[in-house]
Amino acid sequence: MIGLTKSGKKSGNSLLRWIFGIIFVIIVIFGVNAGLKDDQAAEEPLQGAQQAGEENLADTQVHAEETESNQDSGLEENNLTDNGPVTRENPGIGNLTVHFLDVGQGDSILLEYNGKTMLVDAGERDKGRVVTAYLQDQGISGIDYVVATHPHSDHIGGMNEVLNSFQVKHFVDSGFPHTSKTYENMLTTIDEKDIPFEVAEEGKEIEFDPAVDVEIFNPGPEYSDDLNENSIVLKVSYGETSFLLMGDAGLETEEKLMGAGYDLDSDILKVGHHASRSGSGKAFISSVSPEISIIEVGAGNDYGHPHEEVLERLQKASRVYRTDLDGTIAVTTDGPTCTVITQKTGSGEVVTGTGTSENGADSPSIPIITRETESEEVKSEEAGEPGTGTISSSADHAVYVNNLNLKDEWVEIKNRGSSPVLLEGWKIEDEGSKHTYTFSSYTFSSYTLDSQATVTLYTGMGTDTSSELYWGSESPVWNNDGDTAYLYDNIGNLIAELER
Amino acid sequence: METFKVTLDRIEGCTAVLLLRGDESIKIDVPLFLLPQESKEGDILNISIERDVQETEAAKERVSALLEKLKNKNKGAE
Repeated sequence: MIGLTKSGKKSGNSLLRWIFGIIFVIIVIFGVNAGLKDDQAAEEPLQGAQQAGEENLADTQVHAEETESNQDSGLEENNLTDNGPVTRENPGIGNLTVHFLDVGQGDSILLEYNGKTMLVDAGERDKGRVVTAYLQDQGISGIDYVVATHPHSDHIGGMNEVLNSFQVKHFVDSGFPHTSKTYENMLTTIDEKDIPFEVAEEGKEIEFDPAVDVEIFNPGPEYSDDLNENSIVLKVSYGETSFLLMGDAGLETEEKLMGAGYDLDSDILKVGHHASRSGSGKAFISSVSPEISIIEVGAGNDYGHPHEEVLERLQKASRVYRTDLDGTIAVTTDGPTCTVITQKTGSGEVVTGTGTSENGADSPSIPIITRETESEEVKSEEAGEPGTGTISSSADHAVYVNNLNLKDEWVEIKNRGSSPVLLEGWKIEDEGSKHTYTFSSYTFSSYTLDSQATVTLYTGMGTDTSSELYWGSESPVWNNDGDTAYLYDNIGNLIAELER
Repeated sequence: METFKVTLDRIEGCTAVLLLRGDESIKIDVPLFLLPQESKEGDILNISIERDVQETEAAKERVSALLEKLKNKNKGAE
C-alpha cells in the first residue's frame, strides 16, 4: 500500500466533522512520519509548487510540510501562505480543478492540484486518444494516480492508450474481476509496465495531496455481484468545496453509503451511472444536496441516459451540467469559491448562491461563477449566420467523410449542416495513424467548410483552393487493399470515419 | 456459417452491450431478451450467423406474389 492510508473518517454529524478532521490529521501525520523514507526531505523548504509533468517532486516532502500547516489551521482552510507564491489564475497552484471530459457515452475525470494529477476513468476504447490529447493539452506528461472505477468498457476502454502515453505512478482498481479482453489487456499493460497497483478499499484515502482529501467510500467491505455497484466512489474535498464521484454506483451503493454514516453532503456531484434510473434515489440526492450535478453522458445514446425522472430530480436540487450538451466541464475551486467552465453552449448563465436544495442550511454556500469557452463561435452557431466559423463538436456530425478513393488517392469531406464549420486544427488520418493531415492556417487564414460544401484532399502535390487541398506527400497514403479515413476535430474527438 | 465470440461487457437496462472478442474494438448492442436466459455480465458468448436460403426464397416468392396481386388489382379498378 503505497498511496492509500487508513483514515477511519466517518462522520454523519457536521458538528463532529472538525473533531474527526483533527483526529484524522493526527493519524495522517503519524502515517506520513512512519512512512517517511528520508526525514531530511521534510526539512527542505517547499519551493517546488511544480507544474504537471515534473516527476521529481518528492511526495513525502510535500506531505510533511502541508500536513503541519493544515494542523495549524485545523483543516478549516488551506493555509496556502506556506506554499510560497500562489498564483490563483494558475489552476496548477492553489486551485483544484476537476475536468469532466466529454468522452461521449462514458466517464473520464481529471483532477489537477499543485502540479499533481489524478485520472478517474478513461472512456471507451476509441476515446483513449481524446483523453490523452486533453491531458497533453494541459501540459501533463505523467499521472500520479489513475483510478479505474469499475471494469466496464465505457470507463476503462481508453486506459491502454493512457497507460501507454503517460508515466503512471499509481494505479487504483476496484479489484473486482471482469472477463472482458479490455480489462485483461489493461491488467497486462499494468503488469508489463510495472505500475504500482492498488485495490481501493472503503474507509481508506488516496494520498493525492495533503491539501486535498480523497476518501474512498466504495467498494467494500463486501463486493456486490453487480459491477456497477462495486464502483470506486470518491469524495474529494478541498477547503470548503467537495466533490462526490459516484462512478456507476446505483441505489444499492447509495443505501449502503447512507447507512454507513458517511458525510455525503457535497457541492458537486458526479452523478452515478450516467443518470440512469438505477441510481440517484430521492433520499440519496437529499443527503448529498449538491449545488452542481454533472452527468457524463453521450448524445443520443441507446440506453435512455439520462433518465427523465432522475434528471428532473437533479434539476430540482441543483444546477445540472451534461457532457452531451455542455461538452467538457471544468470546475475550478480555490477552496471557498468555485468556477465552472463549459466547452459548449447551453449552460451559459451565471449561478450564484444556493438554497435550492432541501438541506441547503447544512451545506456551505459556495459562490459559483459560470463561463463558457469559445463563446464567439457558439453564438454564431446558434444564430446560424453564414460566413462565420463555428467550432463543431463531435455531438453534431455535420461534417463527415463523404468519399475515399484508395486508388486515385483522395478523400472527400462534406459539411451537410446548415452552418459553416471551422476546420482549423482538424485532422485526417489513415488506419493505424500512419499518416496525418492537419487543416492548418498555412493555406488559408482559417479553413472554413461552408454549409453543404465539399472539400477534396489529394495525397500529392498541388495548389490549395477552397475546394481542393493537397497533402503534399510523395508516396501514397491510402492502402489499396483497404483503408479507413478518420476525421478528428481540433480537440481530438473522432468526428467521422469511412472504410473502403 | 459465421461464428464469433463476444464478451457480455454490461447490461444497460434492457440492452446487452457485447464486445467482439479479439481486441473488443467493435461494440454490439443487443436487446437483452435475445440472449439466452440467465446470461449475465462477464459471460463470454458464441454467436452464430447463418444465411437462411430457404426462408429468403420463400419470402421473395410471397412478396412477389403479393406485389403482382396488388398491381393487377389496381389495373382492374381503373
